[in-house]
Amino acid sequence: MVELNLLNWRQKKNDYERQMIRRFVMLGVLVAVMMLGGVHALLNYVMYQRSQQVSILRSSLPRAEQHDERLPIAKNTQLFVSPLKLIAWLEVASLSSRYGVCYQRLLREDSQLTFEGKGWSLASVRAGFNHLEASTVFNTLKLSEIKKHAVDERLQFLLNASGG
Amino acid sequence: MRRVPFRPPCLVGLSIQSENIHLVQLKKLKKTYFIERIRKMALPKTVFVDGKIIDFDELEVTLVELVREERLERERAVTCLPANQVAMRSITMPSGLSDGEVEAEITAQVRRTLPDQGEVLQVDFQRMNVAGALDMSVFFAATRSDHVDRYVTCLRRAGLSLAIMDVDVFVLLRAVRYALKHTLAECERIAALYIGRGYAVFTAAKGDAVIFHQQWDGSGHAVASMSVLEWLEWCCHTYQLMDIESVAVAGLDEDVEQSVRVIGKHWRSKIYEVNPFSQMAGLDRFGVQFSSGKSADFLLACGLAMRESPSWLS
Repeated sequence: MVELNLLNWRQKKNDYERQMIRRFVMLGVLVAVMMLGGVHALLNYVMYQRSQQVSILRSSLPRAEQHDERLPIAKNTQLFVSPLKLIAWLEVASLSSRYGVCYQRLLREDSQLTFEGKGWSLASVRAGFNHLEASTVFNTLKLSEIKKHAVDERLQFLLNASGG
Repeated sequence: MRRVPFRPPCLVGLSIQSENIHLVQLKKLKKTYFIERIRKMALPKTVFVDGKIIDFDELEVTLVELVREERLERERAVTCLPANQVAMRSITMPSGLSDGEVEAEITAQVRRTLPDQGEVLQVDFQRMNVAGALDMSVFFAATRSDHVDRYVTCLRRAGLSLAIMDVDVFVLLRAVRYALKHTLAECERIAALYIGRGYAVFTAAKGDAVIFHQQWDGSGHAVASMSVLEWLEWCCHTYQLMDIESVAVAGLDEDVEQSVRVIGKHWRSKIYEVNPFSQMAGLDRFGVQFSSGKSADFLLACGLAMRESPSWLS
C-alpha cells in the first residue's frame, strides 16, 4: 500500500537516526566503563580477602610455635635416606588423622628414626601403628613408649623405626 | 494522553471538509483497531470556497476550540491534501540511486510542468520494485510547499503537531480496504467513492497501483458546472472499460443511495456501502449517533487515523 508523507520527513528521520547512533555509542561506552569498574572492584575485594587470610595465618604462626604444634624439621637435616621414602612417609602421615593419630616430632639418630605423636585412644594409636607398618616405608617399627598426656588427656607415644 | 516510552502514540486523524471537521483517533490492537476518539465539529461556511480552504484563520479558531474540548494539546495529527493539489506519477529510474538523487530527479521533472520555475516543492516518493532489476519504478507525489505550510502553521497554532500529510485518494483506499478486509481479494480491482458536502473523490486501484482518481470540488453551484451525480456519471462512462470488480461507496446518506444507482447503471461491479467502524472495537462507548450506517462520513478520518506514528518522530 502506498504511504506518502508530504512533510519533510526524510531529514527528520536522518537526524533521529544520527541521534540514536550517538546515544547507543555513549551507552556502550558507559556500559564498558561500568563493567571495567565492576571487575576492578571484584578483584580488589578478592585480593583484600586473600590478604586478610594471609594476615590471619601470620598472626596464628607465633601461637602455633608457642604451643609447639609444628613438626620441627631443619632444612639441612636429611631425615630420610631417599626422597622416595620421604614421599611415601608423607602419604602415610597425611592419612594418619583418619585414625585419630598425629605426629608431632621426628628425630634421627644414625639409622634410627624416632616419631613422637599423640592419639585419641589406644585403638587409634594401634590403628595408626598398623597403617604405618603396612606401608612398608620402614624395615622395622617398634612402639617404645605410650603414656597419657598430662594436659589434654590424649595418649602420647614414641615410635622407633629403622630402614627409612 | 500519557505517552508510554518506546511505543509510538496514536495519531489524531483530521479530515477537514467544507462543512465539518471529522476527528478520529484509533489505537492499533493485534487484529483490529480500538476507537479512542470520534468527534465531528461544524466549520463556518466562509472557510471553504469552491472546495478550497480560503480562510485559514477561521479554520484555526475552530481547531483551537476542538483541541481545547478534546484535550489534544501537543498531540500528533495526520491530515490530507486533495489529490487535485498534488502531482502524482510513476517514473522509471536506474536502481541504486540515493534518496537525495531520486528527490532531485523528481523535483526537476515536476518543475518542467510548472509555470513558476522557482516554486518550492514538497516531494515524497516510494520505490515500487527494486529487487534485482537495473531500473526501478518510483511512485511520487509533489505539491507546492505553501499548500503544506499553511496546514502545518494552522495546526501548530491550534496546539497540534502535524506529523503526516497524506493524499486523500490513498487515505480513502486504506480505509475501504480495512473496512472490507474480509470481503475483498488481495489483487482485486477496487474503486472507492466518498461523497461529502461540496467534495467528492473517486479512485480505483489494483494492489499498489492507482488506476485512476477524480475529484469533485463542489463547484456544482455554478451554472456551467456539473453536479456530483453528473460528475459521477461522467466518471463511470469514462472508466467503464477498466473492469472494476468492486466499488465501495461512503459519505452522506442521500448522495450514497443515488450514487449506487448511477454506478449500478454503468458498471456490473459489486457495490458495497461502507461503514468505516464495522471492523473496529469500542464504538459502543460513543452512543447511537455513531452507530452502524450513520458514520460513513468518518471514512477519510479513519483512513488518516490508521497511519502509524513513525518511531523517528520525536
